[in-house]
Amino acid sequence: MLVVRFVLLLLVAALLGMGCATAQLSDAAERMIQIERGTSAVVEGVVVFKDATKADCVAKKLPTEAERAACVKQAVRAVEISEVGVLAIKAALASFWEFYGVVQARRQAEDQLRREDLLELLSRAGRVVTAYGEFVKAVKEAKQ
Amino acid sequence: MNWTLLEKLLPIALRTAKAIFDGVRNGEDNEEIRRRVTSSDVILDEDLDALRESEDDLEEYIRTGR
Repeated sequence: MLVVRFVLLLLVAALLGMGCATAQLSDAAERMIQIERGTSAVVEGVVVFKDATKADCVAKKLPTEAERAACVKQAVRAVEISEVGVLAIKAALASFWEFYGVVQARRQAEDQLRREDLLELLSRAGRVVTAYGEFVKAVKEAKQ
Repeated sequence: MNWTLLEKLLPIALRTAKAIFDGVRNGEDNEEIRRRVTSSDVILDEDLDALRESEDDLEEYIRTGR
């Protein structure tokens, strides 16, 4: 009787533990997809900012290259900074998804999620979050 | 509850547990995640293209005024 209870208890604990780790895994994946969409939205905003800035400058009919360059300076900076930021996020995301695939394959083979795998994956997710935070901040500053 | 009943229930409990576990696992492997795991190289590529076009557009404006 005691043994059966113990086995059942162990089973429930293992299931809860695995359910929790699995939830963390899918939460991280969802968060990465949101960041990807957020990045696209910020880029869209930068392109709109560039179009508006350019339209203003075109309307001013500036005669020299130097004047035109000065007029769109902020837009050029916003676009350049965005490119750097998106490249960093892209690399961090690629590293996350690459390891996510590895963890998935390993889990299917072993039917369990290793703790060190989950930690490594969460650390890669952390790098994406950091890169995104820096990107949003830099774009905001460039537009001001 | 006696031993015999528990022995009968245990396989059912195990099957249920396995079904729950499989459900959790499959639910997570949705189409969107699968797409990213198999083709991570296309992530944000369209956005990078848009930014490069914007850069060219601005350079063209500075050069020609249009």
